[in-house]
Amino acid sequence: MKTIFALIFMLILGTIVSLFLPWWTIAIVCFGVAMYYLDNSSEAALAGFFSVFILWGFVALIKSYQNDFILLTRMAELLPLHNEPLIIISTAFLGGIIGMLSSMSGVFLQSVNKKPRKEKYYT
Amino acid sequence: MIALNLRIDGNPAFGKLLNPFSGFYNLGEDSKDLHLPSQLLIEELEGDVDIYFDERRIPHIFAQNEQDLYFAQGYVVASLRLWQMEFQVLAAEGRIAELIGPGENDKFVKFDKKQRRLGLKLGAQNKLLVIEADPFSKNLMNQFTAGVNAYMNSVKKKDLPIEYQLMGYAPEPWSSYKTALLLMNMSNVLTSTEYDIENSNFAIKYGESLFDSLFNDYSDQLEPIFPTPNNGWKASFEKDTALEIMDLPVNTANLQDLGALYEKSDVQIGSNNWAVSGEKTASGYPLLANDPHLKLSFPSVWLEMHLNAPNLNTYGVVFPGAPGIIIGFNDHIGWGVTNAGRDVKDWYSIEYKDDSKDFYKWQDSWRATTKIYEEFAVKGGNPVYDTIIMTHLGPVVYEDFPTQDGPKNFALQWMAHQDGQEYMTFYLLNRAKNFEDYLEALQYYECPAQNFVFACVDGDIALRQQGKFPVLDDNQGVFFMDGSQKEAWSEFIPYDEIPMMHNPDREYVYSANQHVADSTYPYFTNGVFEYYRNRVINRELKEMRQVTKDDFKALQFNEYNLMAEESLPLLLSYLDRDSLDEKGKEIFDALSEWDYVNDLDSKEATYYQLFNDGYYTSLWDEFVETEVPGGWDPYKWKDGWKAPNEYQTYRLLADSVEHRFIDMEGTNAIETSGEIIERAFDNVVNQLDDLESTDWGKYKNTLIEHLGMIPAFSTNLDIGGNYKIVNASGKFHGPSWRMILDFDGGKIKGYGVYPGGQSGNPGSKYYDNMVKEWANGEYHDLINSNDQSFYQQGNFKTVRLKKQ
Repeated sequence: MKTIFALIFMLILGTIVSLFLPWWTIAIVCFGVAMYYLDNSSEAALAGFFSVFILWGFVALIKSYQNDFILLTRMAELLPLHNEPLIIISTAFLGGIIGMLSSMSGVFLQSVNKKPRKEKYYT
Repeated sequence: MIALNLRIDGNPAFGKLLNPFSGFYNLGEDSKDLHLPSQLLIEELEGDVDIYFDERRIPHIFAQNEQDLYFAQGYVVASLRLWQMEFQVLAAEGRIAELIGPGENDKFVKFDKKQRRLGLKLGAQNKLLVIEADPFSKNLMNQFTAGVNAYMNSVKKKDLPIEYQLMGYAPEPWSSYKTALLLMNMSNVLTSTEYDIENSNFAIKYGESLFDSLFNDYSDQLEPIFPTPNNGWKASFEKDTALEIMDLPVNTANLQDLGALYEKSDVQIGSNNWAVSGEKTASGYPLLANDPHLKLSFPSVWLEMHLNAPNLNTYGVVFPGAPGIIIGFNDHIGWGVTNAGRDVKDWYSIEYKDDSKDFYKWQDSWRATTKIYEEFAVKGGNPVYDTIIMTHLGPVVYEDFPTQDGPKNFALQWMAHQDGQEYMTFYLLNRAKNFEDYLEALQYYECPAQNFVFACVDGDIALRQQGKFPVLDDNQGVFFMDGSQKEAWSEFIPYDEIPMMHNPDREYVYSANQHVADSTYPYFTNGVFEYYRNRVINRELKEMRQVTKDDFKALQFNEYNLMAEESLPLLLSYLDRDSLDEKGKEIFDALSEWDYVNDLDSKEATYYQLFNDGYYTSLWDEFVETEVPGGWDPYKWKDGWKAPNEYQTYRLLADSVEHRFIDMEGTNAIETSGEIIERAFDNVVNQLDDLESTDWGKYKNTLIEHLGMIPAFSTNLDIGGNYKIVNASGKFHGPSWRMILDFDGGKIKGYGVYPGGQSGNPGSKYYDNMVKEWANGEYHDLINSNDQSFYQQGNFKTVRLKKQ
């Protein structure tokens, strides 16, 4: 449940920062949410990956649709893969990876700060 | 994270490119949207400017004064074509390696070095001095520049053209210097077919008389642009006796390993224009047509635009990056251009005193050089340095360059280096009301020389070759010359001795890059000219009566192959039909019955092209590369050589001239013309099975290529026509703007189309929306209403630049 809440937080905050700030600020959002809210790296990986995966995939799709897919078709020719749906999926996937790595970093930093307690868990 | 934000190994930064907020998705335009703010506050303006974009995204700019008009033009051009205008300038300046890196085998570094050595910057600097010294010019350019920069400052980084994202750089502020560089770039494209050094190699090895007999450029069959006037030509300068070609010995000894000259402009570049007077039209008023043939590219060479200010209402196409309309019309006159093709590039051998290159030989003594130091930034590499040596003739472009007469240094004297004010011509033409205004406007025009066609609502038609032409000795510029003996050009053909026609008795004027005049013209006119297209145009115009705009459309789309008419029966006459196999007979019969029209579906056009190319390349095998990269155009010469062109070649065949080159190199037998032709025909028959299609359009497969050579942003088309044909749509070049003006009732109505779209953005519907109409020979009505309320009521999208 916590994972799903985190995912929704990331999605909402991520959308807001992406609209007004440089694209990479979404990584800070994932990092922050994970650090303050999540407990372990598998939760972080799931929430981080899927929040940005959904956001990037959705926005890429909407923007391409508004453009009648003109640019997507050309870019598909230009980029490796040469396939329109795969470009959208890899966009979403790239976003997902960024989200996942940032969230996991957040949890990792938290674990460093709470070193004594963590030691107990793992030893 | 950092890795995703940096360009690595020439690949775009994927995070930056793919993220859907500021990456490429963001540039996919919603075609309903203009992608410009509907209102923008601008400090520099004196009044408000309204810009109405029509359904093809043609901007109709209405300003309250001239100042604001050119500001707005700069703003709008930048909003549509920012990357293109800047990329062309950076290429002219020799800065491509700085953007892209050194390239394969340092090809971009070599390209940059060529641009700098040719003196494109030098010419732009000379033009800038004139602009800066003249308050009027300075103001005009400054307004345009300010408009470009206003757009650049207002655009968000994520909305910059996609090429910036892919190549990873950002635009720099615009300046008058950049506009001058852009015009230099055009001069370079239009004056860069000359063969001084190649011709010299030939004359040195084979002798001058063989050169003269093979490369004879003129015949009575040809029809120059300007027939000799009844009262003859005027000449203020005595013609000097023919220049001694060179005091160089004929050197038939070992063939030298010759140097590779810089790439020339393609011979397929050219243009058509013509006008007929009211005597010949259905309406009783003139009609005018123009189609310049340039490299077909995305974004298009041209941008369509309508400029309106008090006492000014002009419509036509512009060069993205220069103020004013270049080809178009106003409420009174219409004008168009074709390239004159005159040789205004002369090469001189320079002898240095010693390795320091501080002095070079001048008659019996030495003259001092000046030196220009060039530093080239190279992306991802160390900077490269070059020193350009300047002489009284111009920059030394080639150093220690291998020729048939040993290594030489060559300096270039080029009209484009001089300080012409070509933009003034267009400024004045945009406002011209009659023939006198047209003449006055042309006085400013120097380089690249053009044939300006003209028609006026009062019924006048005219054609004038305009440019600054040095008075040359006979043969000057055909071969390279001795730089220790020749001073720089100092005498120029006076304005009223340059050929012109005004309301001629034949009631029409036309030009298609053919010879300017016959040998009765008192000045020597060397150049690269066209032989076939122009004669088809003349044939048609001569017969035309009761002409309407539809006749002109048909003529612009005429696909008759005159070269085939003249050469194919000749080639076929060498073949014996009975000795051919079944397939051979079939091709032979098809060719014999062909109507010589290179239309889309013609198979004969493909057979003929293959036959011609095969014959030509095996005849001139001594000079042609056997393996032609791309395999379409046979004219890839071996380094330092050039063979006679096709017209000369078929004249030699028609006259059965025997010469040493008919024999093939590297075979024991001595070949005859008949054997070469038979073999070429057999090769046609054998090649056909390897072709995907023998339909002419599919075989030719015209390419409209992105300026940055990105295939995904380029387009291939199957269309008829070819170069040497009036519809000059070749493989890589073609009519870059087709325009017809109808002066019916004393009011000009324009029709036009170009192979592209107004937007430079590959993510816009308007990137290539006119290509289809262009390919089908359709035209758009050119809307030039003076009445602003027309645009306010109609289906236009409006941007207001508001005075702050």
